[in-house]
Amino acid sequence: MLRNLYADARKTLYCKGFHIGLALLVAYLIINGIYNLILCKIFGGYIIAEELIFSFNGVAIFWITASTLIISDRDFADGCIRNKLISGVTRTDTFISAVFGGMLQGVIYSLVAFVGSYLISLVMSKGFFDYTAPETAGFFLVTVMTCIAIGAFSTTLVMVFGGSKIVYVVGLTLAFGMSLLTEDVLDKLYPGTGYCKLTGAKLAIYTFIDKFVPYSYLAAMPHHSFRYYLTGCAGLTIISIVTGLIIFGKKEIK
Amino acid sequence: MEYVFKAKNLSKRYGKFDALSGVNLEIPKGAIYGFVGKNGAGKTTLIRLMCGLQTPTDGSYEIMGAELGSKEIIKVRHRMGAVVESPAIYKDMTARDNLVQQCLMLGLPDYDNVDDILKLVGLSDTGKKKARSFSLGMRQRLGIGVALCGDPDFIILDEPINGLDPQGIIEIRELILKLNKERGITFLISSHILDELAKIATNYGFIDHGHIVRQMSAEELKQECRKSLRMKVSDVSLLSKIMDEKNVEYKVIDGNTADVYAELNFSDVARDFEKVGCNIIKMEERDESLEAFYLSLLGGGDNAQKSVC
Repeated sequence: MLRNLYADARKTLYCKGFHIGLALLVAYLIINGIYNLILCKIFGGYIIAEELIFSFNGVAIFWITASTLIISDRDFADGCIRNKLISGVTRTDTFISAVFGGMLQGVIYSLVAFVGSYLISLVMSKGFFDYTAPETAGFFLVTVMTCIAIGAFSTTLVMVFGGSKIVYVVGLTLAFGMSLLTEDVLDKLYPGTGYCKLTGAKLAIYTFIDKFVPYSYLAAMPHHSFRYYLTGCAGLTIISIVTGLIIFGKKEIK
Repeated sequence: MEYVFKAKNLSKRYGKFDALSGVNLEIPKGAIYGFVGKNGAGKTTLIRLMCGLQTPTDGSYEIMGAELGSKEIIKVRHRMGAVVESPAIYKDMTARDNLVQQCLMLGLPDYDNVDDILKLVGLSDTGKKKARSFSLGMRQRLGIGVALCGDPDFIILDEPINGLDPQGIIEIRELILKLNKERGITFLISSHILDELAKIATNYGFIDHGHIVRQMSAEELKQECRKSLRMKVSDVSLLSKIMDEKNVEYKVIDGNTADVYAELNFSDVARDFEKVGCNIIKMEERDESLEAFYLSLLGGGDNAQKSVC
């Protein structure tokens, strides 16, 4: 099992698509910083570090979903998953090591985003204004956990639908749909003016999404106890792995 | 005889479609088994079952003595390799990195065999070139190299020379022969390019509509395909008498037809037949290639029959 985990981690690190993803991420962070700088020059004012540090969070879900879908799906298309099974690697090991590869992508992307945006903020911003270092670190931790959970979920989608392009439709539609839903959840639960008018089942569902669905975690600064975020991320990861193992274990591979 | 693979009444159904039906097939140890069939005949389905990618609807098989569903089959699969449809390679890695990756996956303690395999498959000089830039022939050889990492006893190659140029075909053929002779590796090769298959295969299996139509050795196939003179005569017993006197090999097909395996002078033959009062109705030279044999065997649906192997 450990050999397989290492093999899949190695494969991810060698992957050109992953390198391109990282390069694009750094480019995005720089462009975002320059864009903010231009706006400040035009309209006056200055950049605060938080604006840059958390800029990845706005795109993280799509970024991780797209990257894990593309990279994991290519393993299927190139016959590498098939080759593992032919070589006598068990389906459980094959699945878990693939999901581990997706989770690793989540960790690396969020780390690069944090370090990159921090360095950019040192150059371009006037420092932190709204949040303390522990709050920033807490949000970073939630970001990493969320990226891990989404990486695991997206890879599971590929392993379950493996070889079919429908996985892109499902994965990206889900990411897009959840982003829209999250906007609505935050608007309704925490309206800018007045108070929350939700009641009954809708209130329960929206509260559940806000507290336990990782897709909603990056839309706003953490506003719940850390244990909710931990439970939500661990829950999505475990559900993905267990469900995926059951389906992949019986899947007919082409 | 020892077999590396034995299928017993193997069936695979997709919905209402029977991809394989009651297949019995044996692959002798040390053989290069040519697996022949039209598109959709069931070749790849059988290969997928053999590789454990799919499970049979009915029947069973054993690989190197390990029964399907037994615990040993996982261990046995470490001793087999396969290139199914396209070579399974990581395109962003070099040839060497691909082999190291396979060694890691197989849980091998070291990568000492990697350089030997690279040399064996003729990729030792590819250096830092990524597999993405390899030609089709190089990818195919790398795929075989990947399959060789676990020091296998049995390798399955699905259409290994599809799309290769003549040079690539020769390289793959020589590699297979070398591995078979030097390492005693048993091969199952499915291919449409029958004349190419005929250059290396020691055994054949013909599949059609999910049934094994026939299994035969290369010798038997050679007998079937050799040059002959097909004669249609008024009385085949008189033909037998003449051919026995001339000490010529022949095979009676039916009451009026026989195949004669010799180069005969047509005038002499006509004279001999006239002497005994036998009329020659028709004479034609037959030189059946593997393709012609294949077409005669699999040409129509009527040729497909239940496997009796």
